[in-house]
This record gives sequence, C-alpha cells and structure tokens, in this order.
Amino acid sequence: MSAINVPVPNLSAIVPEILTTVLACFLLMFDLFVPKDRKRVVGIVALIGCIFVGAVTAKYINEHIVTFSGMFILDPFSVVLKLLFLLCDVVVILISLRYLEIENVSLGEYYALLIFATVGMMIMASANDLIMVYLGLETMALSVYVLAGFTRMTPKAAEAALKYFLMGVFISGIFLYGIALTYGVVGSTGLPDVSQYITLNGFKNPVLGVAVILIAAGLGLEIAMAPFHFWAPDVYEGAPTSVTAFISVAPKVAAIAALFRIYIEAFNLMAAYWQSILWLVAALTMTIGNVTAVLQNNVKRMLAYSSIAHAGYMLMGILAYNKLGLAALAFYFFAYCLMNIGAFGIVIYLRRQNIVGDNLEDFKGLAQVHPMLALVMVVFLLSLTGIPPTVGFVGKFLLFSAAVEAGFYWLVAIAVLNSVISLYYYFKIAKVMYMENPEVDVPLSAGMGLKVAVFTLGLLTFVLGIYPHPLISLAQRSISSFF
Amino acid sequence: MQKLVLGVVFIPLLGAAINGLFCWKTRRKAHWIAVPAIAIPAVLAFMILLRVMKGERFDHVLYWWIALGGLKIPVGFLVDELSAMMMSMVTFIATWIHIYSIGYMDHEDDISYARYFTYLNLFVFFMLILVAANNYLLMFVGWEGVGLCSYLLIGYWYEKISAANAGMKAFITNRIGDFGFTIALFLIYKHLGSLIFHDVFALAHELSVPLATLITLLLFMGATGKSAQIPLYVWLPDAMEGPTPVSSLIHAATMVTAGVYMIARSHALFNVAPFTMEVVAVVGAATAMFAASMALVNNDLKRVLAFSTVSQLGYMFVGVGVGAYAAGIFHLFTHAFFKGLMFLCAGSVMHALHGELDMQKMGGLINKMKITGITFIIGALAIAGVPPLAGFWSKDSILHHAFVSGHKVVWFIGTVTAGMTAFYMFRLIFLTFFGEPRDKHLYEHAHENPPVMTIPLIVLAVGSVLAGLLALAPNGGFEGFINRIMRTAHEMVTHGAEHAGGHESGLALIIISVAVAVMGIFLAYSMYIKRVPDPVTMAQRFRPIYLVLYNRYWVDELYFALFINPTVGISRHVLWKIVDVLIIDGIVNGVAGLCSLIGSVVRRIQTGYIPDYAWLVIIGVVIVCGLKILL
Repeated sequence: MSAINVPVPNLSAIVPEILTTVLACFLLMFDLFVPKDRKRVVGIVALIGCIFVGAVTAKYINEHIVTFSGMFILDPFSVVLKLLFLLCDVVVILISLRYLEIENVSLGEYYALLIFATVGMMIMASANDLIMVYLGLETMALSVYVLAGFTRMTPKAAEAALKYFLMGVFISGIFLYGIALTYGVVGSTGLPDVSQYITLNGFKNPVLGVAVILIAAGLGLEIAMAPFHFWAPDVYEGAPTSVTAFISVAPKVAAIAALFRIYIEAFNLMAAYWQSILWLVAALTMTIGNVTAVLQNNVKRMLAYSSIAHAGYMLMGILAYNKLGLAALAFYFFAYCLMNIGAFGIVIYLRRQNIVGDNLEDFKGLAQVHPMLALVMVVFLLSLTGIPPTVGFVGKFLLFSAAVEAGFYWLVAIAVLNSVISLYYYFKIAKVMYMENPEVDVPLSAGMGLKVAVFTLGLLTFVLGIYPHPLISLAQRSISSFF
Repeated sequence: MQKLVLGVVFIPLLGAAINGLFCWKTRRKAHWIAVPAIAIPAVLAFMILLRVMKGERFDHVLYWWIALGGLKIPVGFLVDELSAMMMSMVTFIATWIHIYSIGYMDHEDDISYARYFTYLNLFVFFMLILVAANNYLLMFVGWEGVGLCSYLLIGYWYEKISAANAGMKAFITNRIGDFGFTIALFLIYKHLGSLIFHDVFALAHELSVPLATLITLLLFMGATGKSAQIPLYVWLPDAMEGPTPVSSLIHAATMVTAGVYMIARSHALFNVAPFTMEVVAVVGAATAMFAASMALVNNDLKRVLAFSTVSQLGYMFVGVGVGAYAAGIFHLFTHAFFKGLMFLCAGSVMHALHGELDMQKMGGLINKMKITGITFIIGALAIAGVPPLAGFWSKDSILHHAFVSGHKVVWFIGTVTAGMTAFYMFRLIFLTFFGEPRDKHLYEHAHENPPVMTIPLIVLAVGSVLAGLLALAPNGGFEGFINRIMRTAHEMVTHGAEHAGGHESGLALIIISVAVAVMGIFLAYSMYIKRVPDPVTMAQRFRPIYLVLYNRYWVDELYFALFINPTVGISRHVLWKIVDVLIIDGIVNGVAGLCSLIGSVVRRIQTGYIPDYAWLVIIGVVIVCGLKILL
C-alpha cells in the first residue's frame, strides 16, 4: 500500500487570499500598539492594505488556475469578484472611520473582522467544490455576526447579531445537508465531478433534486431571498449603519456568485429544473421586497427590503443562463455596490448627536440644508429605481434584456412592474428632502473619508450610467471562462 | 450639422448645470443664464430646420452607450423632418415661456428662483433628447427625464401639500405607462435585434401581426401615460398645481405631446398593426369627448385648460390612429402655440388677481387687461377652429382624414367635441373677461402685467394666427414636409391627392365643423352673457349629469379604491402586520423594554420567535421540494 500522494498545490493561485489573511492578522496585532483614541489609524492602514491587495489581485485577471486537487479555481470571474469585495472594503472603511467614533465603538478589531470576512468571500468566489463554498461561507459569516453586533451596548444591535447568528447556524445546517446528499449520490463534492456524474447517469435521482434546492436554501440566507429573508430587515436595522452597508452588499454578492458557479458548473444539465425553482423564488423575492418596503418609515429598514428586491433582480442573471445574463450579473454587482453603499453612506452622513439618521424625518429639507448631498442621494435613488441615466438603469436594462433573450417574458414583466412600485418608496425619501422644510438645525459634521466616499460613489453612479463602457468590458472579461 | 445638433441638445444642460451648481451665486440673475441657454438652441434648431428643408438628413452615433455582445445601443441623434420640426418648436416655445417666467416668478425668493430656472432648463434638455434620439433607449432616457422634471416642477411649491402630492401622482401614473413602454422595448430588441430606429423600422415588416400588435399596444400604453389619455389621464388636471408657465410648457406644448411624437416616429411599427391603430383612434376620440365634457362645468381656469389639453391630445391620437401621422403632428404643432398661449394668459390673469383661479369670481377683466384679454380670445378662436386661425387647419385635417378613412363614428365624435370645445372655451372667455365683475375687490386690484409677460403673449398669439397657414405652403404644406419621412406609401401620403378625390365632401366637412364651432361660441354667448338659458337653472334641471361631470365621473375615487387601497392594504395588513409587526417587531419591542440584555434575548428565543423563522424556512424548503418531487 503506497503512501497517499498529496500533490503540491499551486500557491500562486491563492496569493490574494494569503495577502488578505496576513493583512487581517497584522491589523489585529497593530491594533495593540495604537492608543485608544487614535484607532482611526488602524482603519487607514486597513485602507492602504486593501488597495495594495487589490493592486496585486488585479494582476491575476487573465489567469486561469485550478489547484488544491481541483477544489480551488482562480479565473477572471473570481478575480473580478475579489476586486469588488476589496472595493466594498475600501468604501466601507471610508464611511466607517468617523462613524465608529460617533457610535463610541472605535475599536481596531472592526477593521480586522471586515478583512477576515473578505477572506471568506474571496474563498467563496473561487470555490470549485461544495465543501470549499461552505468553508468560505462560514469564515465570512462568523466575522459578519460579530460585526452586526459591534455596537453591543445597544439592545437592537445585540439582538440583530444573535438573530443573525441563530438563523445562520440553522441555515448552514441545511446547506451541509444539501452537500451531504450530493456527496451521497455522486461520491464527490467537486463541482466538475457532479457535472460529470449527471452527464453519465442523468438526473433522475430525486435526492439530487432535493440537494439542488437545499444548496440554494443554504446560500439563500446571505442572498436574503424569499423565504429566507425574514432576518434581513431586523438585522439591517439593528446593526451599525456601516456594517449594514457592508452586509447588504458584499455577502449577498458572494453568495449569489457561489450559487451561480454551483448551478452553472455542477448542475448545468439540470438547468431547466433549477430555472423553474429560481423563477418562482426571484419573482417572490422582488415582489415581497418591494411591496413591504412601501410602508416603511425607517430608511434603513426600507433599504433592507429594497436590497431583498435587488437580490430578486440579480437572480434573473443566473436564471437567464446565457452570456448576456452573466455579464449583466457581473455588471449589476458593481452597480449595486456603488448605489447601495452610497445610499447607506448618506444615512451615516446624517448621523449626528442624538440623531440616528435613519428616520424619514431626518431627511426633511435636506435639499435646503445641504443641496449637494440631497442631489447625490437623488442620484442613488434614481439608480436604485432604475431610472436613466444612472448605472442602476444600465444594469437593470442588461439583466432584463438577458432574461428576455432567455424567454422569461413574464418574469421581466413582474420585474418591471416591481420597478414601478419601488419608485414609490424611493421617492418618498426624495419628496421629503425636496418638498419639506428642515426641522432640526443640528449641523452635519461628516468626516473627510465619508465625504470622499459618498461623493465619489455618487459621481461614479452617474458617470457609469452615461458611459458604462469600462464596467461592461470588465464584466465581459469576467465571464470569459464560462462561455 | 453635428455641431449644431450637439449645441441644440447640450446648451440647455449647460444652463441647468450652471444654475444648479451655483444657485447661490446666480440667484436673481438666473434668467441671464437660463434664457440664452434656450434662445441660442432655438436659433440653432431653426438653422437645422432650414438645412433639413433643403433635403439634408443626419443620423449619427456619438458613442456606443451600452455595447455587450449583440446588444448595441448608441448615444446618437437623428435629425429628419420630424425631429427638426419638433426641436424648433420646443426651443421656440420654451424661449418665450422662459422670458415670461421672469415676470411671473418675480415673487419667489432668490434661491428658489434659480432652482426654478434650473429645472426648466433641465426639462428642455431632456425633451430635446427625447425628440432627437436615434434609438428607443435614448428616447426612453428623455422620456423618463421629462417625467422627473415634471415631477419636480409640479411639486415646486411644495409648501402646498396638494402640489407635492400632485407631483407624486403624475410621476407614478407615468411610470405605469412606462411599464408598457419598457416591455415593448424588450420585445422589440428580442425580435428585431436592435433598438436603433433605422434598423427597427427597416425590419418592422418582418414582425408577425399579433406580435406587432402587442408591441404597439404596449408602446401606446406608454403614450397614454405621458400624453394623458384614458385611462391614465388623471394626473394632468392635478398637475396644474405647478407654476403656470410650467403648465404651459410641459403640460400643454411639449412633454404631453411626446406620446404623439413617439407614435408618429414609430409609424413603421404601427402600420403593421391595424388593430392597434383602431385602438389608438378610438381611445383618442373617446378621450377627446370625455375630457371636453368635464371641461364644460369646471370653474377652475387652469383645470378647464387642462381638460382641454387632454381633449386636444385625443384629437392628435385620432390623427395618428387613422394613419394621418402628419395631420396629428400638425395639430401637435399648432396646439403648442394656442394652448401654450392660453396657459400663459391664464397665468397672466392669475398674476394680476393674486393667484385667484375661480372663474365665478372674475368677469369684466377685458377692461383692465387689454393685451391678455385679446390674446386669450385669439387663442380661444384658434382652438375652436375658426378659420383662418391655426386650430382650424389642423383639426379640420384630422377630422377630414378620419372621415375619408372610413372612421365615421370617430369623425362624428370629433365634430361634436369641436362644438363642445368652442362652447367651454368661450364660456371661459365670457366668464373671465366679460360681463359684470363678480368680485369687486379682486377687480379693483387687477392690472395688466409688465411687457416681459405680455410680449410672449403677443408672439404666441401671432403664432396662433399664422401657424395654420403653413398648411398652404408649397409641396403639400406642413403635412407634406412631415410626410417626407413616412416610409410606407400609405393611402394618404399627400394632402393634395385626397383633396383631388373628395373635394366636395371635403368642403362639406369644413362647413360642418365651422358651423359647429360657431354654434358652440354662440351658445356660450347666449348662456353666459345673455343668460338664456340661465346656466344655474340648467345645472339644477340636469343635476345628475352636472354632478357626474363636476366630479369628473369619480374616476380618481375609483382608481383609489381599485389600485391604491389594495396595494397599501396588502402591504399593511398582510405583509407588514403579519410578518413584520407580529414576528419581527414583536421581538424588537420586547427587547427594548428589558434591562437585562442577554436574559431578554435568551428569553425571547425560548418563547419561540427564532423558531418561527426556522419553521418558515423549513416550510418553504419542504413545500418547494414537495412540489418539485410531486410534479
């Protein structure tokens, strides 16, 4: 009996992950040497670190490496996602710097946790094996649970964190069960192996069908798709706003990307099967998100429901299962990141003494107090609604075109109708900003980082709406390994 | 040519940007930026029009906006007879309305004065994008943009709750129409592989008739939203909450006609779908009559004009619906002058009477406001269809086309409506400008407005008199000019050809419509000046009808009961109450009340709320699995 032969993995494929992990560990240690009132420095170091890692990661954009016995894949799609996660980090750090001081929780580990979560998401983006997806998911989730309860002295945050954690644990059980079922049938958890098994044996085995559903359910929590969305509004409202901005974008994107890779790579022959499920889920998700958002008066909560709705739109990209759909999905990831974090950034901007900034009343008369800020918020709202000329419009147009191309007429009709509904609640904010008079006169006092972040995001949302070419070519490049 | 087009389209944007970004600098002087930002494009647009008359065309891609695989959408502009005419008309009318606004908005404080001109410039920019775009998606950008500006301008006096709500109502109603428009775009792209006008129209004949019918019906749905037709007209009367020059520019002369323009532009698609054409004509005729009936009894000066606009837009749809695209566009063109004029006159009256709109309080104003009164009468004569004023030519052309194309019922409705139009317009004139002043106090304070407001009135009045005479220009006149772009040889390509065939019937039709108009005017005269029959006793005798008309058929209430209440109801009672309040808020409220944090959370879990979530998840999974396995 020969010794088990372990092939040497190609370590260059995981350089971004290694660097990010090192950065996170470094931040933890560095934090010890920073005095309590200067924790902002840790954030700035994290910021520089992220940019550095991003620069290194960008170099891999044309690589295609499969390593760790086929469990890990580095392809343009994963690289683009990693860049997106780092971009999220940069923006979230920028909007957090001063916000944490106002909230009185300026602690160094905040940034380390953010980076650890990023490592998890990077692994999810590159996972070529169900176990690997699970590993990434848990790495990310554990960090995010803590982040959600970071302002642990406020009951709402603690509750949010605990609720998130309990639901997360529960759902990860479902996810594992799905993996186990797949393993039971196929005898492997590698995505190409599953695909190969289905090619040879067909997919008549109902257990496999259940596994497909359970896997979607497992990832469905982070995606916040119906019926796994119940936790989201609670957690989004309770968590510190900067963390909400983060968890409403990055983990959602990571989970959708993972679901997409699993379905396309492993269950590609069962496309008709999972399409019929996802169709329903997407329609349900966007409708529930939008209709429930209509009545919310808390902006964070409203944006939570809106982000549920956006998850529904994004699922259309997977559903379409064509070149246009995948490119549209990649495009929408960026569009969504810009406009959603931007909108939360404005909520943070309004955080003042005794004002959380997430009430609809806090937006009253913003156009008079700070016309530029109101204008930027309108850009974000237009983009979220999908009104031209904004990046959200281009993204939605691409997604819907892809779905039409794939023949999902009714779903597109539902989606367009949903956009109409969404206008109503997004413009409730605009109406309050432009058509009412300010009530409180506590001046706004945003930090430099927040200002830079919000206005840059606003500018990008607008400019990429008029000239989306750079983003489109990036999206096109990212899907080059699939079709 | 390219420079000219870019100049026309982007100079208004530049104006909006300057006033928007530096409103605290420009303040009172905002119009020194805003007026040239429209006047210069007006000159340029006229130069373009002259070139187009010589036969020049322009279809140029500025850059590729969205290009992904087979999906290629440019930012590009198309200049032909139709768009050149629209650009000239929009910029010309807008220039005078901008000038008028200087006087009208003089009570505003500095910042909002600049804000007003910013929105107005921005509106013109989007309107020009709409008419100059060379593909459907860019047209949609303009389409949404004008809607947005309209929203901002209707709600301009947001201190009034009704104004803010009217803006919202307009925006949302429009979005319902846009729903159809958007779906139509996706269908066009899916089946013709392009959204560029040139490609779409070249391939349009390849569409199957049912598909073309579906697409055009959806496009028409968009048009009913933007152009205030049944069933989506409800927003326009409320839109009168905005400043009057805005009503004049957006809700009479330009934006509301976008639907007509879009259909004329898409004529190649509509020609493939005869059924849609019938629908367009019937909806147009029905709207024309329906809206006119509501205008008969309304006492609000601007609301009467609003219903009149809805009614006149109906005529335009009758025109395009019976295949006489050029006639529809001709009416769009003349209507812009006389309806724009009448709104400005109404604004002038309002300005003089400190915002009073109730006609029952006016009377005898002609003695105080000569220019406003005379120009208003010119506008009313034009809309009533008295020759040789503008409205006569275009309305008559539409009715004539309806008649000869076999739409006898549509023609009849149109003719009756013409009589109603003449009646309510002159009812308005007589109540406002003639007879005894019914409110002495208001009358005492009335005064003619400064030249900055009256000169635009005079200019547009001259336009209202003369614009119709373009019908007599060589080579088929106005309609012949527009018909140069109509691709398919439709039965009514040139006006002249028909006249040769049915000259006698043509003359008879003209005599009938003029007679009807004169009768309408005479009836208004006898009722509101001579008081025979007395309108008050009439209203009492026909009280049920009067109430129905006065309350606008209760359509607003109906919509509220049918659509708004159920949506809010589902959101509030089903999704929100059950899911959120019961489950989620239950936890939130409970937690907030407890001092011991951990204890409370643990307690909450033990009382079983998180398991509720878990159960929901399990049930969801089991249902989906079950369905998939069973089916």
